[in-house]
Amino acid sequence: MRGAAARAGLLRLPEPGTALNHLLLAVTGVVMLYPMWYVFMYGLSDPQAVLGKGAILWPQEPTLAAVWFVLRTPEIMRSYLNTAFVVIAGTLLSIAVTSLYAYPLSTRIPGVRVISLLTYFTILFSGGIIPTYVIVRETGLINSLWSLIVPQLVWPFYVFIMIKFFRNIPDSLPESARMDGANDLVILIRIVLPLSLPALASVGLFYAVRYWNEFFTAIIYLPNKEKWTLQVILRSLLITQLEDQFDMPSGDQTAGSVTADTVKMATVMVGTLPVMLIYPFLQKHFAKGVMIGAVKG
Amino acid sequence: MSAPATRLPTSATRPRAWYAPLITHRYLYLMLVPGAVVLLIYRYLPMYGLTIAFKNFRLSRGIWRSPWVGFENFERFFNSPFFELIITNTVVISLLKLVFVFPVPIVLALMLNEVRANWYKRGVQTVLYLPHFLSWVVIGHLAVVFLAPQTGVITNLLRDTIGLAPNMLMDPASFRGTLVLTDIWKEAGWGTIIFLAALAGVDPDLYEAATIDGARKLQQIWYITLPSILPVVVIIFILRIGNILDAGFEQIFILQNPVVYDVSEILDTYTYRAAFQEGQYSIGATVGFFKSVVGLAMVLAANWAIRKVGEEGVF
Repeated sequence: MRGAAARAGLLRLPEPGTALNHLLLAVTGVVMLYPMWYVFMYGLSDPQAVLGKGAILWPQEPTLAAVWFVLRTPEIMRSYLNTAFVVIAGTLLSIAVTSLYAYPLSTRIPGVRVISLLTYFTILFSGGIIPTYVIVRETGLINSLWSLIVPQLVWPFYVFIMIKFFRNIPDSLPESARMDGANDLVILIRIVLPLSLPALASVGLFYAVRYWNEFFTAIIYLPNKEKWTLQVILRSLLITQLEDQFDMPSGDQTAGSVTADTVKMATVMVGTLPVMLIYPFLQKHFAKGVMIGAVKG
Repeated sequence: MSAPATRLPTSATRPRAWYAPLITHRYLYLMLVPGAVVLLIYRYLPMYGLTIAFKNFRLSRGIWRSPWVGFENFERFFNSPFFELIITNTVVISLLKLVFVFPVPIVLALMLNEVRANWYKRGVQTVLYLPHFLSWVVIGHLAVVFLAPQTGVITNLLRDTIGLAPNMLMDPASFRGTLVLTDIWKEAGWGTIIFLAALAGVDPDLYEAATIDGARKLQQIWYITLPSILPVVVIIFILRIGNILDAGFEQIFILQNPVVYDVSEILDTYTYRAAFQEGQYSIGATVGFFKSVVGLAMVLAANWAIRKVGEEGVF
């Protein structure tokens, strides 16, 4: 990025420095990657073969038994569906409402400054956990999956990312559409949004990850087990004995070809795979989204 | 987009009614409605809901019908033995993170910035971003798998190699260290993004001139790169200080256990416990009120400080 001149400078750089830098980054990468790698390899291993092995690189006597067990456990599958609903409905609605809200604020119609300031204020100051819980309760959302979606439909920080992006679109495009008689809604949908796909991708990913990983509000808003999401199930697997949760024989002893440990690993696997498969493809976009948002909230 | 405002109706000499823009731009104003309703109900109403800190609140009676009790809840909170403990924990954990977590993404960004091979740089970035996308629940699981006494992979590795087996999860002496390490693990990679952006903006001519003057790589980093990104570093540092009362709620909530309450109970976890485990919603809201108000003051002070050091504030 610095052009030929800097590369000329690089030539003077002692090679060991570069090599050391690359090596240290590789080590850091391994530290970041290995824990999840281990979970995946463990989840794909035979429980007897992997027991007491310590760090492993590959599945020991590979088997899909634990994964099948997870996929056949109704409680886990139900939580998976609940999470899928929250992520899909939540992300779509959030993108829609956030775009609708951000577009007028990117124009100069009267009142924009006041509304922006009021929106920004909610980043600085909040009622906090309890008053929010009380409002969610009084609006009848407790024990409904909508409680994870509606209160967080608009994340002010992402509104400002969208506003910044909208403002960078040249005026001439919406203006010519307006000459042709298009109203503002048509302009937003037909012209502005198609030009904002990078912003929609990164903000959409941020929302989706939020909804996917939402945990705390899920445990206070959804006391009913039927409504539990993946994170809540994961949490309960972690802190309780598996056999208390599901119909399954004892923990460390084998139950056919799965144990509590391999089932936990497989559940984490299933619970992280979608996000891990998606984010690398959006890397270029979300890096830009963070940059737009971080410098000036 | 400035266009709409320039096209207000200019018909005749009659002064426009105050609501004229509302009609001209009706579509734009209508677009605001769904988002505004959500923000009003779920962001602004809870601010009013903070009044339950001054009430004897019962869920069954609701916010409006619970009786006022003045500062009684605050007196109970300030006089409780927990007050000092949770304030200390909140501030100490935040400061530890400020000192040990904050610099890591800067160093990583500097290292990434020196990588010339684009495929290598992007590959490393992808891997470094991974933990950011995991929930604290999953990381709590990883923490147990790797750090648990007796069974943890790292614990056993350390015991077999250097004969030390630290109890990272259930020892008050090391638990805050675990909070720092897991926080670095999750967010250090993600934190590089903003600094990499700042690094990309450094004027290449400066390096050229320095190279001609015979500056070595490390000298270039010290005399050119670091001063160039210093404004961004300072802003983010001050913002973090402004958020000092946010010590990392979900992280601590997930990793915490009764053995380490004394070193890790913070404002947020105490709020949760008071309200949802002991049913004392008013006390919980009082702690929340304290946090929101002091937090707002700190953030505003931080913003003032940023302007003071000559940078554009966050507003």
